[in-house]
Amino acid sequence: MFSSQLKKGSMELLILSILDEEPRHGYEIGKLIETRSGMRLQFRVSSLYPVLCRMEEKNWIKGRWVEKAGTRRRRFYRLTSQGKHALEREQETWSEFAAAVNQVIGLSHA
Amino acid sequence: MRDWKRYVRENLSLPEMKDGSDEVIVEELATQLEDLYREGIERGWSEQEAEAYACDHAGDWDSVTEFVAGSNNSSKVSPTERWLEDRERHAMARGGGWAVLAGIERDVRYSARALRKSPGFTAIALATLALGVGAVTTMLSLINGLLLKPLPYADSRDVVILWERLPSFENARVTYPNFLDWRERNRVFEDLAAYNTGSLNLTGVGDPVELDVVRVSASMFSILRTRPMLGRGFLPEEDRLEGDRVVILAHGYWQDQFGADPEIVGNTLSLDGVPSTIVGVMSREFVFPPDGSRADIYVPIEQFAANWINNRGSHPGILVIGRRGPGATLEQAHADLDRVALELEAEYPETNQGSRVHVASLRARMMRNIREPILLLLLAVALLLLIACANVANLVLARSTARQREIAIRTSLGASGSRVVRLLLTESMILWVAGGLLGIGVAQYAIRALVPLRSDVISPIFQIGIDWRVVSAALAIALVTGLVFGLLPALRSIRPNVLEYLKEGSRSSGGVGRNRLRGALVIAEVSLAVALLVAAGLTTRSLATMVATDPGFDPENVLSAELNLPEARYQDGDQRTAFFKQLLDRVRTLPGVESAATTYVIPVGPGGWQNSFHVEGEPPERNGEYTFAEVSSISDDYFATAGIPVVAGRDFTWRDNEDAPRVVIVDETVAHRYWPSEDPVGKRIKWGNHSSGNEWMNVVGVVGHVKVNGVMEEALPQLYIPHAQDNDDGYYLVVKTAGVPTQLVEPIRRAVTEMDPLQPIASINTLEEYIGLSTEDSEFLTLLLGIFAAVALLLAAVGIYGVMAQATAERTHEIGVRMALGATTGGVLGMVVRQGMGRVAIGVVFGLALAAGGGQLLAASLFGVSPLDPVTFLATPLALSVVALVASVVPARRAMRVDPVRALQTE
Repeated sequence: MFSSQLKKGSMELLILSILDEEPRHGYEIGKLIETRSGMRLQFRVSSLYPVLCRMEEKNWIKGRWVEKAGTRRRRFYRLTSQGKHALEREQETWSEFAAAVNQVIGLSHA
Repeated sequence: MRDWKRYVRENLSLPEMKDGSDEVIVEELATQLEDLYREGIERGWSEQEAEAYACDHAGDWDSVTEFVAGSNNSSKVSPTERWLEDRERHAMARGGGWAVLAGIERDVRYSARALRKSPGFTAIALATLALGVGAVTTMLSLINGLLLKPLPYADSRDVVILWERLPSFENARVTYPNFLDWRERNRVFEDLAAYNTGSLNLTGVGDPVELDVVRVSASMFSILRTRPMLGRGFLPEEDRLEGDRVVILAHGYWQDQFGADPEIVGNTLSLDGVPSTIVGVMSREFVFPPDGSRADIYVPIEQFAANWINNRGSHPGILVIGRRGPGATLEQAHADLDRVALELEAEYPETNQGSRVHVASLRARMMRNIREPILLLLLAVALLLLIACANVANLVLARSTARQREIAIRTSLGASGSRVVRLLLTESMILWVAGGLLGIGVAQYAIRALVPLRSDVISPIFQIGIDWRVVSAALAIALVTGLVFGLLPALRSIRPNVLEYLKEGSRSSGGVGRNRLRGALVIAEVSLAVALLVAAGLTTRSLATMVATDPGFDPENVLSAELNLPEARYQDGDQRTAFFKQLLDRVRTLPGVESAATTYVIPVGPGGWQNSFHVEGEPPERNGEYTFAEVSSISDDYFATAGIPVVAGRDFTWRDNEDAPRVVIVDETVAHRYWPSEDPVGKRIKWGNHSSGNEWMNVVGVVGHVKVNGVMEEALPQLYIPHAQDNDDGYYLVVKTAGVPTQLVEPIRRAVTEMDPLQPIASINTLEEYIGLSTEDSEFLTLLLGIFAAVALLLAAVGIYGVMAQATAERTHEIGVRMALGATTGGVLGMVVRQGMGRVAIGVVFGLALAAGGGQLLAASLFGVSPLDPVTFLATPLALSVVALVASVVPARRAMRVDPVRALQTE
């Protein structure tokens, strides 16, 4: 398992990629991170929330309350156009970073 | 199912928000938790397991709180604030002073908010600091008043006090002829003035009352640069034996007796039957004599000097004040007075052999009895402050450990290490400064409560109180200690930065460095507390010894009434003897009286009479040396009344009068010193030295030795002479009663008034009250040190508990592993407690060393107890260790109860 600290640096990127597919609410986002990482990344409600808020402040994502019949209302987040740009940028940065790290630690075949 | 909104609310301390956005935040978080819970249920877990699963996913609430509070604030900032923040950001980019200022302002706002959010932590820290700073500030105001504030006399630095040194008496009062010669012959003083105290009976204004009188030279007014508020001072020609009878009223007496009548000057008072003109009234601020003795009126001293003006052997309680001339130092004054003393020695070898002059600044002389206790108490409060600071530093450290996640976030978000340190330091500084301000408030109360308790030692010429000097010193101390003790945890908190945090994950204990710092703080606290406890233990044992020491007499149920017969109406000894004999006859018949007697001096009471004596057959005294004894002139039955055992011979009777042979009763000290193996009865003693012409007195009895100055001081040997052979105008009537002595106050008063309606009683007290006065010093010291030690112990216990609780909480995982691997609960308990007690043991060793070093300061205040008293030095560490053991066992037991599975799950 990775420490929550590691997740924090990359949290925004993870959320951006998850929301790139479709709007989702907080629990879904967290669960998707967990399952897709093979449970190696675990989420905490308290750390997810501030990241979502901060991203909303930066106008990368937009949240709104949605009520579906039979369930309690949930806040769904979707990617804004600025968010899409941000995602591209972050992905780029991440791959550069990962490549750089790999190169340093000798994992790269490039 | 759990009410998840409520759960969120309980864990999240959100400020009320006007727009209701707090509601929305709670809802969103609660929804997510509920989803997690449902997920658990769907997996087929029990409700409890599902709840635990959701709760585990909640994570660190503080970071949300932190975050929400931050964004809430920024969303509501005023345009000005936004502008300020812009400026700050701008300035940060450019650097410079403005940036620092703006940053500090922001940090202060943020820190204040953070502190408000942990009211428990803040309250404990503030209370601790208020106690520490308060104690120090109290002592600072005392020291400020004693050392720095000007005395209530103009240019008081030049005012000195003079007294005599005799071969047999280090500190003797001054003889009037010597005073006149010093004044006449010195070359360094602007002027000198003599003063002593006494009493005069005032008649003609209501009931007869005895007034407290200060007799002063006319020059006193110019020396102290003062003048009466109404009227004038004394004229030089009034300060003569035959001068016109004049009197100046003290402000308090003028108000109480004459309703502050502005027309009072020119009126006449009948003092001891002599009409005296009121020529002035002093101002409220005027304090004289400097020791704070009560003064109703002032009179010119020489008018009362008939008995001493030509008698160089008489020391009628006179002290001399003077003002140094321009440029004259204390050393020059001393040298000049030595010259005068040598001249006088040559001229009057009989009386002045070996006589010298002490000269000291008024301030230094008035401080002589408080210097050591003050130093000691200052040391004690400094220790207390250090303990308080160590405690708060520990609290801050524990808190910053808990906030490590927040700090790590800040660091990862780009906050530099120095920025985080600054933020944490700001928080500490706010705590310390606020604690300091509270402490000043505490000191204000403490001074009001404490200073009146010791008005007898702390002269009213010292203005004890809080002024700008004290406030700035207290704040400076708060700032410096805040900086030092706040910097430690702040620096520690960035040390194990992101990397270490990553490594240790949620089990982070903050690293070895932090543990070491915490250990050091505990050791410091324990050693300081041990030192204080030892000091308190020593004074308590000293007080106990003092109270248990036999004073040589039995004060139980003994009442004393002071009577001063005015010379105007009772001119000779026979008249006075007749009065007292008749009074005794009356008092002895009063119901409830077991026995009654008169005495010139009461043990442990104020005043005293010392005289030199020579025992027949002893070698002649040399070099002006004399042998002194405490003397009292007493009536029959005095020993029975005061409970002093008669060891040999007989008591006095009224037949031991002027016509009978001179007789004397000696105490055991005299008997053992001069006739260790002989019967003292029948031996002979005379006053003065071997060559004096005084009559021989026959020893007729031997009585027990009495600690006349209180149990702490060794008393001189004692001699008693019969009332009818030698008496004075002032006497104490002492009465041993069957029941409560105070019930006899009124009957005795009536008996006196029936005999002489003009005769007042000066004071009525029980002997037990006088004894109480003699142990007051020690009681006060014991009380203060006791309070300090109790607070220190409490703070140390809280500190040890806090550290142990924190340390074990951080080792939950390790303990879980150990227990999972089969460690017994006893083993774990031992491990945790050993760690705590190891530090305590080191602290105890340091503390005892500190106490042994500081004990020398205490030595002078101790009675019957060595400053290295083994009992105290053993009992104190034991007591503290017990407290420390309890403080570490409680968190250790909690650690033991950890379920290994849960402990491992915290991973």
